[in-house]
Amino acid sequence: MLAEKQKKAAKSAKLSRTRMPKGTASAGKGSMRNGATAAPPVHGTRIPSTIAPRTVRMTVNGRPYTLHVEPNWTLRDVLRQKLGFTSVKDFCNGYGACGSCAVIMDGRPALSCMAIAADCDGAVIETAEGIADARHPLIEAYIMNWTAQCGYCTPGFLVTAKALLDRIPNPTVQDIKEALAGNLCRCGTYPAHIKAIQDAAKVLKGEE
Amino acid sequence: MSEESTENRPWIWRPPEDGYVGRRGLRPKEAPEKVSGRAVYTSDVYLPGMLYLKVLRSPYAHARITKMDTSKAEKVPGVWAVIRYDDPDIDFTDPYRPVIGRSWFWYRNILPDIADFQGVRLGAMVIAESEQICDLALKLIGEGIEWEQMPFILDPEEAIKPGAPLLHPELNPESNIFDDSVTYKIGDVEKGFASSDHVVEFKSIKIEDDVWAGVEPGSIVAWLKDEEMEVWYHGQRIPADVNFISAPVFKKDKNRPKKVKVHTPYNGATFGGNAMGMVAQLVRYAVIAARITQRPIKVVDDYSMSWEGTSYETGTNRFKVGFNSDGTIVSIKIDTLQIAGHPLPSKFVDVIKTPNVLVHEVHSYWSKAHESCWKDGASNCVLSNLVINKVAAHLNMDPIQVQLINDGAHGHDMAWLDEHIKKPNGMPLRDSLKEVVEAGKKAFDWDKKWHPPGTRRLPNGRMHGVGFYAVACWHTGARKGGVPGISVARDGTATIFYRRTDCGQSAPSTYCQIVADEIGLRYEDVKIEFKDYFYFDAVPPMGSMGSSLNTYALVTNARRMKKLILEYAVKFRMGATNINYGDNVPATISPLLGKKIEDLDIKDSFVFEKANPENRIPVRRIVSFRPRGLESHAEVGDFFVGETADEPPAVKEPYSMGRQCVFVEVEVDTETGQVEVTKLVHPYDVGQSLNPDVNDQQLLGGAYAGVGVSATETIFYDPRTGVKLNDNLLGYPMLTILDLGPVEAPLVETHVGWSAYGLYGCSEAGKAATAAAILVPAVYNAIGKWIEETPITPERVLGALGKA
Amino acid sequence: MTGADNDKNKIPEKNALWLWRPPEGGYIGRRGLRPKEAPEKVSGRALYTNDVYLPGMLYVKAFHSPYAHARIRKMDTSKAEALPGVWAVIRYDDPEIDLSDPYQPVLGFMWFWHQNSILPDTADYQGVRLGALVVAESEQICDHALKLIGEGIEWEQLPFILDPERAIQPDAPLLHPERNSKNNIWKDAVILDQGDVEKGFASSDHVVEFSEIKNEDDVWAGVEPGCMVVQWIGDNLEFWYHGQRIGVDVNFISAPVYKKDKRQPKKVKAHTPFNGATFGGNAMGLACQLARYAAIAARKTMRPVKVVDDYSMSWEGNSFETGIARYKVGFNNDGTIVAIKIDIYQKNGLPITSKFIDTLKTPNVYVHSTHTYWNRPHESCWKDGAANCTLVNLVVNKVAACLNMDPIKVQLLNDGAFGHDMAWLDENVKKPYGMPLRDSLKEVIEAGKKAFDWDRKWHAPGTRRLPNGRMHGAGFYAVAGWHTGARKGGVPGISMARDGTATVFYRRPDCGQSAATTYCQIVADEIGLRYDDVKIEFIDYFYFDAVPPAGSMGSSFNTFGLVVNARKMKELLLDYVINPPAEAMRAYQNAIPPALAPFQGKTKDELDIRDGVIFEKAHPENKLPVAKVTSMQPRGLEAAAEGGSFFVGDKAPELPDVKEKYTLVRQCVFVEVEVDTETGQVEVTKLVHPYDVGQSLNPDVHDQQLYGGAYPGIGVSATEAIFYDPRTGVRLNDNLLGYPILTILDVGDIEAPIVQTHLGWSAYGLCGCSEGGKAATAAALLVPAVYNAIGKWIEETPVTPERVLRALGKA
Repeated sequence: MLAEKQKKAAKSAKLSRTRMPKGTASAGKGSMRNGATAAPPVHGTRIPSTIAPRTVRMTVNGRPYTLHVEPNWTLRDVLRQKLGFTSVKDFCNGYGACGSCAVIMDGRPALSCMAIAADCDGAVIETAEGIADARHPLIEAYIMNWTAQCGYCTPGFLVTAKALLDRIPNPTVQDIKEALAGNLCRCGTYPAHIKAIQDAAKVLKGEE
Repeated sequence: MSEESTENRPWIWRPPEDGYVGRRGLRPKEAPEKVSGRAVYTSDVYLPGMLYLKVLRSPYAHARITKMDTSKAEKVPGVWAVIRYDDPDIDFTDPYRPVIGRSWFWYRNILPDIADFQGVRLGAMVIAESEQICDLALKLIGEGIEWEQMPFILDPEEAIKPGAPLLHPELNPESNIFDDSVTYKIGDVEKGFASSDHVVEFKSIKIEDDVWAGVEPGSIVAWLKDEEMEVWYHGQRIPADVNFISAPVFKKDKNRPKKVKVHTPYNGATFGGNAMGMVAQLVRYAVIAARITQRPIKVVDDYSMSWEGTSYETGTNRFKVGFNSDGTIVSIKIDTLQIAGHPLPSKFVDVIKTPNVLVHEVHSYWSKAHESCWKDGASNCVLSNLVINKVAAHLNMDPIQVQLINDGAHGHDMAWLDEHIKKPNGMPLRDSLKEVVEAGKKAFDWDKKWHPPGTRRLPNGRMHGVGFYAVACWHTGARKGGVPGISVARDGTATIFYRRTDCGQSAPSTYCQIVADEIGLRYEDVKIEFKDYFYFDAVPPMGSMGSSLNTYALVTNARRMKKLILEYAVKFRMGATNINYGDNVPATISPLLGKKIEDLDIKDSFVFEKANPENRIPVRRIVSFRPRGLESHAEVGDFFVGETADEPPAVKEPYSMGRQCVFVEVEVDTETGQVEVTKLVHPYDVGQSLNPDVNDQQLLGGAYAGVGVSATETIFYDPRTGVKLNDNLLGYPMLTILDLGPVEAPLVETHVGWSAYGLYGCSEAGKAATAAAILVPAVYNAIGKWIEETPITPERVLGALGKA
Repeated sequence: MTGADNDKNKIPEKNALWLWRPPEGGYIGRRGLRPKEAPEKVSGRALYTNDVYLPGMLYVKAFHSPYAHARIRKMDTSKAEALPGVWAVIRYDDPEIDLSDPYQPVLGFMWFWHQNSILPDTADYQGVRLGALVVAESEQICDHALKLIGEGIEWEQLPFILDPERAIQPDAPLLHPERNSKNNIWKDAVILDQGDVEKGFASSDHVVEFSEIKNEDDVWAGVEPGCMVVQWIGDNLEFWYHGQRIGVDVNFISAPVYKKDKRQPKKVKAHTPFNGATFGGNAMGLACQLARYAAIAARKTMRPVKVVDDYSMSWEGNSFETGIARYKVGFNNDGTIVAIKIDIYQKNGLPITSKFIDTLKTPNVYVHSTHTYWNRPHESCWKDGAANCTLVNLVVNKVAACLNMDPIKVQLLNDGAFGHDMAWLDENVKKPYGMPLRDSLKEVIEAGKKAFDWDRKWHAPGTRRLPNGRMHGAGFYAVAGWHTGARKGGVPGISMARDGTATVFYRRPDCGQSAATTYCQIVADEIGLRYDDVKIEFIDYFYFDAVPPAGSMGSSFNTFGLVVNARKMKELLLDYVINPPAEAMRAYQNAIPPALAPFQGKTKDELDIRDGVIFEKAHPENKLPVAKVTSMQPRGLEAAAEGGSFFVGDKAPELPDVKEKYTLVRQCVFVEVEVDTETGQVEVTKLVHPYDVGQSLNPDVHDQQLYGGAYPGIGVSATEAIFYDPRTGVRLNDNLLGYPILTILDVGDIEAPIVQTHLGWSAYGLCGCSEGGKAATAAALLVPAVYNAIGKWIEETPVTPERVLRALGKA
């Protein structure tokens, strides 16, 4: 199937062109434990595994979980389907290109579609739900700055922003833009996020 | 009568001729999903990441928690939270003013430290990832509790004795009585007794509880989605219980959900009882847990909830009745002693003309479960039942004659009611009691079967007996009800929007029949859509009062929809026509253009000209004349009605004019004391039947539950510990398919009901007519002995026969 | 409204909704309100169809063609059927299942080429769904089975065409002989013919000819994957719908699945969860195709089924702009445009002249469009005013270029509609219909010039080099606002609960315009409640005629119904206070409730409602909270009936028929670029998009919607293009790694000044802006700005570095 091959070639060639976020891209890789690397699940190539499920322990939004996961499950599959954290979204179909599935793993933003769940044993993970329940100032700032149009990519932005503020409590506009560069939005909400993050930073500093 | 007179007097309305209302053999709308098992009940709801909540229950009848160690439970893997009665932050107070049924609310705390009956929820609730983990954690908590045990009381007579230990000193430091009042008084009973030929005194005693025994477990699912509290509700009374959903959870942080969204899946046998607070309690638990964990929570109460109950009948009544030799009852005095909080006389005074009546009720605390009424007209009916039959027994008369002589309401006889109520309100001057008695006698063959007490032994050696009594129909009067929205879609089908809760009366079918008839559509073309959201003022078809409340608004809005369709048929709307035809619609589209609305009618989903019916078009074609293409985004809303119906005129004395009666035939084995019910006939005046198949089902529901309660169903308590001994289906014998002879329920339709079409509800009444005391007269007729204690168990029969 | 007074006879005031205005000092038009639906969206708890998981749910996926044009000769599905976890494989040649298209298209469309089947045996572009559906227990198993099926197919490959001009050459292979056995043209029509263009050209001082060529597709590129969830419950069908046009697509889901057993659901229950960026596109057939797959699978297995299209659905598209337009324009020395002739070669089917003709007074216009088959995906328009706007943009700017004039002057000079100039429109439209005599174009230009600083920034083409060595350019153009005119819309139900809060019932889909918020503002203002006391409840059920806030026309449709019913509710409340019904008096022995005593004998006009309090205008101290009134509804057992005294939900009245419903509102775009003449890189440093919304409901929402236009718009005009392999017809970059949609880094300042002339035809004189947003930032947007920078007119879009360099003679 010539066409298929060419298409694949084209795709893998494009991988070098990836515009991954400074934060997320590196962290996405860094999050792969035991040096294992996860290939992006390409349409038609994921097959049901015959290998036995593995047991992993992970802490999500402050709760410890012990889970039996199939070796081919991504962290996103597990967070969504096993644990019900639907804030972890799928926009780019598992290419690690959009940031909609971002979570905070061990303090750094990571793309859960690029992480194999079995490799995340011991990981400490934070999702948008957790950030909301902790009443983090970002939430109100995100609400009041109208960061959500269709809202689908918003949690991914929020998580990335949270990681940024953890790292840089007082980010410049450039810091913000660079941190969010890997989060894609088709509704064009970008300017709203900058305002929202600045507001949240002020609240954290006790200025408001 | 003139147009305007019917216009606003719904009880005078009648369903269209040969429509679907009152017809048998229709396909029930909700049956397919129920039969296939795909119908969703609250206990079938599973959400991603859902947690489970269970509550500690007291092992003691009356005890206080002095210390509770929950540390072990908190350590169990999978436990998310243990919430303690002494949590400083959470507001456990009852945010709710009870509407009916007072006794559950003895303490206004939903997680108390004191148990006032064995099995009550208290102390702690556990939230965990599975029910099993909850159970394990609760076990550990139970082991970590120090109890202070206190004296308990199971017998009402004991409870009111001076010097009885106080069960609720915090509510009443003097005695165990929480209500002592005269709940009904007309005339002067003492004068009445003085002027009577005879005066008789007797008792009825029902100490043991009958309960509704479960079916779907008590379950509620709650999910706080940031600012919206979404709840899946298993129960009947959202309007009341929604207060529990929206109340703040924390004492300090008083924030409420900005929005409440309530789903009401199907209910596995919800009866009135769980409207009475226990559901609200479960809702409250779920909401607290949802707020604390921010996860979907399912409260699982196993099915113990449905085992807490003392029906309104439980208690003792002392009767004093004065009557004359012809059977006329002159004066009635009743002293009743009860745990439940529901006033008794309503049905009673609706069915007797007796001018002097006094009902005195004493309600006291005992260490038994709080009331959980179910199909509870019952208690009201006992009174008239026993009074009439006792009088008949004394005079050796046919109880039917006594009933007929004394028929009336609130001290008025039937002649008075004809003059002052039926005539002025345009009701037919029919005598409901005579008609139901007629129907019943025929079906039961009463005249052949009735005989003087204790006089007929059957070839099989048993004694034969028959019993009869009558009571007024359950009614809610002429009420506006809520707003059933009706929408007609492009395909010509109508959809009714109304609230659940579904309690099994097949409202989805009857409501569709009404709307189909009133608009003129085929029954198949009408559907029901459940609007679960509380703020949408559609009426839930609640057990006691579904059709009697809702028919009025359904008819009103269906008629408005019919008018809309006819207007459209004679003059297509600009908004619709300009899309395809500009402003001149070809006659091929509507041969009815330019006609007068009065000259048209709708039948079988066709609009036609009355004068020449072949001139007709399908409703579908008319309503499909709406913008298409981009405009169809807007679904231009020409065919939706959903606005409030006008308030029907207030009737000064909406006495119940409808009657029902019960004929029961028994065989009593004088050796074993066994009582077998061989036939039961329950003629019922529904005023206007919406669906006879549904009537049958509702009356069967009454008969089986009723005969059960009057013959076998009792909860037993261990007198030494106050512990329930048989709160499960192995120990509590509800009737099986084997246990009852033929049941017939002839329908009578006199149109003397106060609701639209002059109808009455029948689901509540079903049980009403088969209350615990129903077997007393029949057994008396069989063995010539009057048994005061119910249910009539073999022991009691033998006791009456001097054999035990 | 003096105009209205003059013409009372012509228009009944009560129905002239465009003359209504929101109450003074209310919430409408206010900034800083708390959006109603934002909290769940921000925390990620908002439910999208893709988040729906049902117990025992199965998944269905369709096979996608690897070839641009090919027919399945043989297909062996046995391996796939044998795969554990596979419940069913549905083949294109299944004898029992009815695979025909149960639906007559509403907007005429390409997707309906193979109307004969929703699961054809012939591919007419690479990636099209065909051949087989797999129903299995997980997506992974579906994928695996589809791979096995792919390996078991014998293909007959057919010649394909990717280029519109190639498609109409006489020797071109026929792509759809079954539909047209002569050539590849499926529609050839004069869609606009006004005046006499040839005479026009003859009488013009100048005539210029030029082209716009847009060969590559831009696509909406996904966000939420294409998905639906369908399950049978008893006689009824329940589904979760991801898309915009449920009113149409429901036909696909409820149509009989088997040829023999024509069973249809007795009832359809539809849920419309939130939508991850649904734009017009998936209203155009793709969504209903998926819906149909799910319906078939659900009927076949009688299990809940989720159809998952990964997200390829959103990669099929060529926007309405894709194609070639050849222009001939006649104009005079002063800039007046006398005649316009346009020949369009396009794939898709939407007539693209509406905005164009609504913006120019030019008396002679002729537009001829030819629509042909090619082996590229069927259109999937998204934010599609675009195509219309390109025409005006290029014509006005080309004329300005030829005359070396400021394009703004040319635009102002030619402003009008359907050949009429503004003076005529004032006399014959604004005045008779009572509209304010304001000039929308002048006002938006004023606002834009100020924000953009046009007068300093505009200069003769190719004359300003910046210190950083790049060439500076400024571009401008204007176009009519998007409007749907005065429409009745559907029925927004409004209910008041006992606690005095109001709930608005309306349908989703939600497309991100925050209708949940604006609708609450309207109802709060019109009843006189606090914004916090008004909530939205989504009625997902299709048969309830609440109006969906559909992308292009939400507020312009729905404001009318909302206002009408909110006013009815206000009447109800005041009536209740003035003549309390029996239910209110029952609690007081049928006497007037004391709280209402002060209002007895008053008339409704003497009372008003503000901030949730009813008061007497003359004596404001005489007041009563609305909650006190609503709480008079029956309690106790009667509460079972919920009183029901405060629900309105009947249809809105008819509207006057407006003959000359021209668009009178305008929007324009100012764009500033820096062009690197070495690399050809074009950077957009500033974009100003003044927009006349007539009446703004919520400026915060307005900003968001216009950002939503700017980013995809600039993307489409600068970077976004799907590339095809010329030898195989295979798409090379249909993924977010290869298709560069803009990031937060890629655009400079964006400003969207709001202008409110109340010249819209909808209630309050408003006019929607969400569609318009993209409209103003169409593919050709950068052409004038780049021309202004380098003095070269680029005919091919998007304006990529290669094309810039070629224009500069460097490539």
